[in-house]
Amino acid sequence: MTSWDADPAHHDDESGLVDRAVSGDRAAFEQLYRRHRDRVYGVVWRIAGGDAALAEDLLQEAFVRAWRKLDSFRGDSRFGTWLHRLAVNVALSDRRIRVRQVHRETALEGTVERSAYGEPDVRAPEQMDLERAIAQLPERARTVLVLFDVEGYSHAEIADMTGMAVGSSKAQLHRARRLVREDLEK
Amino acid sequence: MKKTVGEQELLRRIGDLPREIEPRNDPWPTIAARIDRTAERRPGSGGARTWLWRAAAASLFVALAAGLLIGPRLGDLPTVTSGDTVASSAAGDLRLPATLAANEAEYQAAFREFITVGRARQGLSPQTIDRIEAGWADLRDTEDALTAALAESPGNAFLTARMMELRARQLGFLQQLAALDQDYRRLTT
Repeated sequence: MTSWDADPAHHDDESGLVDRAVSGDRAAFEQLYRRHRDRVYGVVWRIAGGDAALAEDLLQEAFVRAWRKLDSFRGDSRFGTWLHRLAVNVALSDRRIRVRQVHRETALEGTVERSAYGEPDVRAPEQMDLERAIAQLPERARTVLVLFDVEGYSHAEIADMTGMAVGSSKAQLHRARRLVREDLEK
Repeated sequence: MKKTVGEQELLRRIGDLPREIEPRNDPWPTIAARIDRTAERRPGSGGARTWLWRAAAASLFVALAAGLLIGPRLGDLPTVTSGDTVASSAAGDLRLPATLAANEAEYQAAFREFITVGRARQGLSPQTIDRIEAGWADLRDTEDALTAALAESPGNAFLTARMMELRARQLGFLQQLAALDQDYRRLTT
């Protein structure tokens, strides 16, 4: 799914960290956290509609749950893949019971520029418009677009994670893309 | 001038979005503190027996807490006391797994269909919101503990019964939030 997932050397190195973390080594777990934090934050931030405070809560919850569930990580998939899916599940379940007012005006500004790629990107204004359009999508449409178009999950995987039918996932994606395009064309 | 964004153009732009985003605040100190508090709950750190008792104690605590939080409106749900726990754990051992499966299906269906409380939150005090969120967080913590304990002891009748009770509480919780939202809509529209 990601470049670091496909890197064998990275995987071997990470396996050692995972083994140490499973045995209770918190320092090893912190290294795993440092490696994956921005990747996990990226997906939960988008699922949360750009709500930074909520996304930080979800990030925190995802890593606490990962720590608690490390014993259930069997190594059948890469740790990053396992963690990413766990974080998505945390976001999908948590946001449904949120009764806190979601402030859509949460600053999107600066987020793109502070991406893990370092220096401000010349495409930042264009990306910001797109991020804003995605954030303003209805929740189900946004979730499907983020998971399919941004994160690369299949409709079957999305259906499994969200509980919606595969056909619904496809319909939501079609709707989401149309709404984003309309927003960008304004 | 109105610009046109085609499907391929949109996908190109989405493809250019960064997958990694740095949070404004690094939550590691909070995560580390929570890990320290829960370190003894990690499977393997205290043995299966410790897990079972912790899960059982947590389920009782949460049942009582949930009762205080949403009490009278959950009158149709089973009330958990230590006496009930002993009694129910000894009853219906053979039927529990199938019952739990049905119970799980009902809960998962309700959860998937659950619609976020929308308007109601506007009429809730911050204290009430905090209590609701804290109550749900406790239920989820207990779910984690029971799930882990059941993974270590599949088919354990005592834990299965506790999980069924927990699911009933969670279902009730979601139903109460939905009712809250409906009440608010009825009163304000």
